[in-house]
Amino acid sequence: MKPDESTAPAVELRGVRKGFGARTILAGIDLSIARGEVLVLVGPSGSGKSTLLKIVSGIETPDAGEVWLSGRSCTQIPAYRRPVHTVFQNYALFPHLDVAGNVAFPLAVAGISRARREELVAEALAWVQMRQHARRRVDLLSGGERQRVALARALVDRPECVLLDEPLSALDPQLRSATFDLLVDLQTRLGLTYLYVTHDRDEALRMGHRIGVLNRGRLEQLGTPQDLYHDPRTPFVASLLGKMNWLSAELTIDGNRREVAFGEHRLSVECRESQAAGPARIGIRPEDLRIAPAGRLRGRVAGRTFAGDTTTIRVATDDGACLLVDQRPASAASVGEAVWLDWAAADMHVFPAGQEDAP
Amino acid sequence: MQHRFRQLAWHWLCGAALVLVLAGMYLPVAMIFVYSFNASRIGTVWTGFSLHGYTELWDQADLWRALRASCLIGCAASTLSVVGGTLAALGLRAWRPRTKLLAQGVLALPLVMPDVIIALSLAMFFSALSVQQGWGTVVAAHCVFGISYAFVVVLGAVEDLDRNLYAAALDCGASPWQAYGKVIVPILMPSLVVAWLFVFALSFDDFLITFLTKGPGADTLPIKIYSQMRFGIKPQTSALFVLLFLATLAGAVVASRIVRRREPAV
Amino acid sequence: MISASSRWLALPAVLYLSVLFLGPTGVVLAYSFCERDIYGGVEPRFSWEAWRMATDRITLSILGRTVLLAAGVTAANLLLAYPSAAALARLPRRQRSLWVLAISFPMITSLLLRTYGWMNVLPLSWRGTLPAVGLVLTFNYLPFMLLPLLKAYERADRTLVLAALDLGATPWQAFWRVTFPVTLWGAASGAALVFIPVSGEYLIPHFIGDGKVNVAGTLVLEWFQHRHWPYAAACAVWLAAVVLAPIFAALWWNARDLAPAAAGPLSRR
Repeated sequence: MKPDESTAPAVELRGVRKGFGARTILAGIDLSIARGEVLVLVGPSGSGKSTLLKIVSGIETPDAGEVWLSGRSCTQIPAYRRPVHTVFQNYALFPHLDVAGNVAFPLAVAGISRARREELVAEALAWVQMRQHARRRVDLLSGGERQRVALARALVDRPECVLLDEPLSALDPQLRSATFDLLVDLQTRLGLTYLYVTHDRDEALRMGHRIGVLNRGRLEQLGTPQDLYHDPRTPFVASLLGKMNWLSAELTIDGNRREVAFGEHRLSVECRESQAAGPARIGIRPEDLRIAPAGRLRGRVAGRTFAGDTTTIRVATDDGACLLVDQRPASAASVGEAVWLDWAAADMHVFPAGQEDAP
Repeated sequence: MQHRFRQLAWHWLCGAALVLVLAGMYLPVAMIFVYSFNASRIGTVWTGFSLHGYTELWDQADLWRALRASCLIGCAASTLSVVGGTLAALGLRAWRPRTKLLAQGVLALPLVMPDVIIALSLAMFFSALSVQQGWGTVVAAHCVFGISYAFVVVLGAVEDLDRNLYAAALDCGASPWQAYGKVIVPILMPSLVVAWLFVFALSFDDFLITFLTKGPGADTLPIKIYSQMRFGIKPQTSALFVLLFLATLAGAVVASRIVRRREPAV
Repeated sequence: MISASSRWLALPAVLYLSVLFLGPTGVVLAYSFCERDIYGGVEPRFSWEAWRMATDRITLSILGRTVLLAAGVTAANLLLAYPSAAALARLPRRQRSLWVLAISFPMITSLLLRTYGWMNVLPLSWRGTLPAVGLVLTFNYLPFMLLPLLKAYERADRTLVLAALDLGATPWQAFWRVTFPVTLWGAASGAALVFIPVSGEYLIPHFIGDGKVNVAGTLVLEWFQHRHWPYAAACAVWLAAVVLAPIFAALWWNARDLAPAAAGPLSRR
């Protein structure tokens, strides 16, 4: 292996654009994925994440921009010569081949000898615990089993990057968590590189080394899960990655002091330099709110929802907002009781008014 | 009580209809069996039991020639039709909606045309272009309905095809040729076989279109039988069809056994 | 994803049928306006003669008889196929497919020989009558009606009938108010598959009709053989119009319902 190949990012996109007719799907995407990294692309449906995946795999060609794989320019290389494999959302297993036949397919078309093929297939099936089903027909497999065969097929020749298109979306919740663990385990054990597309925020946060948030064909923010969760750059990112209570307030700038006012309370806040004074949206995560004897906002408990590990309390404030509180341990306040809400100034996320939320 | 009785009467009626249908379908076939054992050489009347329909079958050179002609024409027409129809079903997916609809209309129209019209129009067409009629014109004529049938049968399978499979094959490193050869065509194979057999059966049994487009020499079995109809079908001809019927039955049984073995019990 | 270059694959078949189906259709149309050549073929001169003949009382009555025959055969098929499909639908899947195979299997033997079989079964006094021709045609085309109808039955939810019976409907009411509307598309596609070929049928009217039952198919073929090509062509145009008119009308009325019905029996095998 040449030295520049091992240091080059597994995947690199430069200014990738794509449109269908008048509709823009991707509006200039730049990103790079290091070897052994898991990059999760998260976004609502229609945000262009699947198209981006297809452009990396070569199934779609970009209108402009470049695709580099392991330091090689691959923009003009067809799908079948690219060192990446996709796990399709509906698995796309070949119905005329059995489990082993499906997994052997990439090796067969690459002209690898039968003996070597069998060895590699057995190994790949062992990774996904499907060795005992090697001769089963794929249309008789359960959803979870199909998913594992699709995974083995994508891993068998050790691609530079595995592209996963909503791999868990078709599974029921129990299988989902087992398959999730398998994906993480294989990634660490084999040192795989994942480009993982999902619309599920929990999956994104738990899976990603880094997360890219896509909105209307634009990469809205790219960073570690902690960054994105705690320091979202837009209301879209903030609400996509977790529940958010939204309040309206007025931002005042006085020299270096930036303050927002809630009734008689004035709170000093941190926010982006570029943000101008004026109406602002304040986001506070439910777990950052506290029901306290005294605080900044007054309200009445409107309801309590017990969910095992948390109890969500809905508080209707006096000025008509409805806020969620995920305090631990939960406050004992009963429905109808008047309460105060309090929070730390540092837990406020301040954005200019009028920016869109995630759906 | 009355309700129950009515329901029973309804079920009985349905069963009776089914028996009637079965009887109507097998009555003429039974007659072919019976007449294959007729002692009369050519007659339309039953003169007694005899096996000479079978024992003298081998000597009927013209019958075998006709069988050979039917098989050759059938094979040629159904192979060409299935290839053409399949390529059309695959290729049309990339056409624009409007032209696609038009092309589908052209491809399916022969299905809603009675044979007599297709036969007449082809005969006049060949005559207008002064084409010498012969084997070639018969095969060409059979391809007209053959392509239509093959197209419609294969189109159903192509539409059921998961569009991701082609992409998945490319993604796995298969070139477009390999993707067709190793994924798309094998998946379509059962429908291709059905389409082939279907077109072959139609071609094998076609009388009208062959009758009006054939030239000298290209006498298929139906043409041969037609010429015997007035004076009575020879027992040897009936015997040949009894054997063909039994052979097809055996083939169908064997084929279904093989298919069932491939499908393990769920 | 489908590569754009694959669109060329469709070209051979489309071109072939454009030349060998649309071309001949055009020739027939053109010939119907030509003068007769008594040695076969036509004189390339314009003439109304063939159409004058094709609109006379005799031709029209033959066309009327053809439509009557085809409609009668279609109706008889519906009458037989509906209860048969109902009986089959009650059977378990495997048994049902065996029955279907058994019913349609005789179709692989020669149509001519089966017709010959019928000629020897029917009483001599029936020969040469329209009802006898209708009877033989009915059984010859029965599978074309039964298969789409059974398909429709299979797709219809069987519990619908049970629900209707449970709600107090008599079996007849359950059929008429539930089963019939739900399976109508199967009946429609079966009707198309029977009506079209029956109205162009030649062999069965020719042999069972013993030369006494004239319908469109026999008319076209006989005048073709009698070397009056313009008249044969005009009759073929008539026949095509008779066959296609109800189909296009149905498409016009209910394009959406009929499209899957027409493709149903053939594509979903």
